[in-house]
Amino acid sequence: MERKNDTLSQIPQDIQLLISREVNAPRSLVFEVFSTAEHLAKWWGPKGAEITVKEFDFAPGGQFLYSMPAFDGTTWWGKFVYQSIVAPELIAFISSFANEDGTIIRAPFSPDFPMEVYNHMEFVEAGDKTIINMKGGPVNAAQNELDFFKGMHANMQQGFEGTFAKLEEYITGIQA
Amino acid sequence: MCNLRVAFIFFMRRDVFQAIADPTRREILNMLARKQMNVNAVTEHFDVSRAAIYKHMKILIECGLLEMNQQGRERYCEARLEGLGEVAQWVEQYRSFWAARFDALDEYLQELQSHKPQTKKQSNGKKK
Repeated sequence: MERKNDTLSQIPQDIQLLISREVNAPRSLVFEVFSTAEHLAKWWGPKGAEITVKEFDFAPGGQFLYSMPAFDGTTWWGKFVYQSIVAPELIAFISSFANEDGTIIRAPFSPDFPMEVYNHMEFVEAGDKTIINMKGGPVNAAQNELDFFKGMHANMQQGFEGTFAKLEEYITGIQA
Repeated sequence: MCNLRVAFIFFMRRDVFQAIADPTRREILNMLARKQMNVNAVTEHFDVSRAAIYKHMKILIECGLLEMNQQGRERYCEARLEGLGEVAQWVEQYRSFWAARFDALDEYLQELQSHKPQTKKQSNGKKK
């Protein structure tokens, strides 16, 4: 029923992160607020601070370039490059940090966070509500970036429930 | 993989992520999470060669996740799991980043719908 997505299939299963979330709105509306600059400016930013949209071209190959005030008082730029769009059910894009000109830069907070992360966002109708299923992982990544994501994946997907079960107690303990 | 020279130059975190990216190394840590074990007992647990397990152990030691102690004639392995706290922290940050984005989205959607009801009929009293 769904098209095989090339970029997603290039990301090994063991580094794909999956995040699922239900929102209380019909699918058409959820899709709409992802697909216009006016809407995104109102919600795609840190709480209490609107983002500034510099470029917005909602089409495959087009980009969304925006700035946001960062917690450290500086301005961070981010961008999405859209890969595929199927209204109202799919938006796939590559997200990265950038500079004002839209050139991709390393995440300001980590030397290992992948420079380009592919996000495959599906919108599934659930009555009056919508379930957003997001899969993703690093693309064009260096080995340290892949390892970083793989380590995160191990913890998010199977880690705490599976082979890492005994460690959970420990980690909960040291975080307390 | 876990090159010591590199490990010293960069952050410890990188190596911890590399260390736990491998299922055999996760299994070793898991076995040792509650108790220290004789080195031989650890290697015997796996089907692969002893040398292969030693190699994994070496990586874990270099990353600070494992220690070897000599006790009489026997060598024991002990897990040092403090470094994993960083991984847990990252996972948590990533999760909470998206949770915050989706919270903002949900809030915004509620606001839109209360101002301008969509084509759906109003379903009063139905809360999530």
